[in-house]
Amino acid sequence: MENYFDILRVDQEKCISGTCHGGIHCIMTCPVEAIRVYEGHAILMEEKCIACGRCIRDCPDHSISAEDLTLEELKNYQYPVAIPSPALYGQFGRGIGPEKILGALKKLGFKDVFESAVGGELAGVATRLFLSQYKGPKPLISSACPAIVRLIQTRFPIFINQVIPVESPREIAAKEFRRTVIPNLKVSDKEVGIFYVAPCPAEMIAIKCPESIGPSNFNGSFPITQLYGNIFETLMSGDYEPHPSQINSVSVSWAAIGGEIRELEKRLLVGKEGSTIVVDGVRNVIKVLEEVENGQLKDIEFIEARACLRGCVGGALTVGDRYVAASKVRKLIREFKGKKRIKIEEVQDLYEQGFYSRPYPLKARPVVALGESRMEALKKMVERDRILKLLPGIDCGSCGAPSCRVLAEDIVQGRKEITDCIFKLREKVKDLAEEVLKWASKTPSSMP
Amino acid sequence: MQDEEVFQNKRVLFSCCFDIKGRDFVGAGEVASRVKTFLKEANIDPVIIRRIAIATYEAEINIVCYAKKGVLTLTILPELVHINLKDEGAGIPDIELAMKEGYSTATEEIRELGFGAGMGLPNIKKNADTFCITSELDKGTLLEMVFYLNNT
Repeated sequence: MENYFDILRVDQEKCISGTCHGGIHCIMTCPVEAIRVYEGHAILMEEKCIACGRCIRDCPDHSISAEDLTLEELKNYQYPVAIPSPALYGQFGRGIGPEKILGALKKLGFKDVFESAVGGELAGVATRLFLSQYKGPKPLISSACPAIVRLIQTRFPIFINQVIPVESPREIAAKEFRRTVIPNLKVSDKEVGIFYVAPCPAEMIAIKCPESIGPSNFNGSFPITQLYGNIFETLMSGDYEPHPSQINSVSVSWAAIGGEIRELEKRLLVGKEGSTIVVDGVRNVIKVLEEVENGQLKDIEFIEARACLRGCVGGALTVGDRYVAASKVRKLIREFKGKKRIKIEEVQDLYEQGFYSRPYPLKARPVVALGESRMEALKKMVERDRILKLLPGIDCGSCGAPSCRVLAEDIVQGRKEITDCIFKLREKVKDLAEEVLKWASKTPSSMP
Repeated sequence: MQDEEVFQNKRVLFSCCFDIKGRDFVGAGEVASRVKTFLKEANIDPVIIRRIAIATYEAEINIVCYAKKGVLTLTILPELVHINLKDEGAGIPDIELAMKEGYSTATEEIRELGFGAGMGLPNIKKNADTFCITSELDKGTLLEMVFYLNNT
């Protein structure tokens, strides 16, 4: 078992013995070319990986997974708390509303449940406050999706200062829980364990690895997939108490795309109509950011960018169909229309104290450059192009790299050899065969 | 800096040519993106890359909108990036007028696609360190841009 970021696991045995057995699915599906096949199994390049989870979804043998803790480990805390992503509300059948889901989740071994959706609404208000005072370069980009933040750190570092400096909804929820609930409990801070129920590996890694985006207020996380079976069984058994939900239309809408800009557009704090866009899917976000780099999309002021199609309900660690889940979220938006909403005045003081802000600036982690210095990078670029001209250019993946261009780069960086390309190997065999034929057709002139 | 000077210069670290098709609005911008990828791989300052990206994109769109076809040549020297675009087309009758902000000869089709605001050439001049444009009627236009690199 290979371990990345302490969260992503590659089961090499499954790779080798499965239907794919060292094939091309993961290397081709990765939108940032961070996977290679080596000796029949997948290896991830941590510095390039943005943890979007496409590989987890698309591996036919389910060789790649995400894990952090077991439910047993909750017993290490006097007061374990679950903070579920709002994506969880879309995962169950029609009659099963948030109160039942929260109740069943709590039954798994938690003393309390607090909704990340609340963090979403607070993040939205903090974003409005930030935008009302902001005068810098645009467009601004949402900070809610850690896979997109990582994409910007690695491939678009020029936009680091255009990522909204508001903390992610899940971290705000954890902080809000600590601020409002813990003081009223008869337990110390140390005895409280706060755990996120995650729809995707990117959020799990953001929690586990403080060097990636910043320190976390969580003690760990669980993928929705890990807890789904237990929650489902509990729901069916009926052996649980429903737990009251604090969501409203605004907070629950964060589970799917369009949730974040919904309020921003309504309040028109981002200027003229049509100046906000929603982009879902990593390849689509890359395309849009490339356009922004070229000076296109000049009138766009805010981008709600999400790595997963349809947003968090489409996360790699969710169960079931994302389109059905998105439909359930829309139903909840209608159902919870009249519920109490957070007012700007309530959060203004805390906002000014920096309570909703990301505590540290984002670090750029550029990975595109071929060398540490410009001269070294240019030398490698020339060599890479020379090698590329020798390769067939059909991007078949047989070498374990997703394209001929990537193989050429891998060769220049010393990670692969030109004979890893089976066409180059075949060429050499053909040359050898022609040589053998040439000599075999020669008979000494002395023979009859 | 004239073309001949650049290519005689043995300090050329990297050079590459790209074809641009006139009226190809589907592929418009692809050459600018490829140039940008090379510059990122070359570990050039991202702030400078941003200016080059904007200027290159505008120049490519001009060829797509107004010329029959063109060629972009990227040349990297130790201290600068040189980009020139040579196109075959109607040429520009009054360069001073074309450089005026807001002046555009865009057709309805071009405007409907979101182009033709008349800011292309002024944007290029604003982003490039040096900029030179010459044109011959019924023949074509030549644009040369130089971007100076920081010492690292």
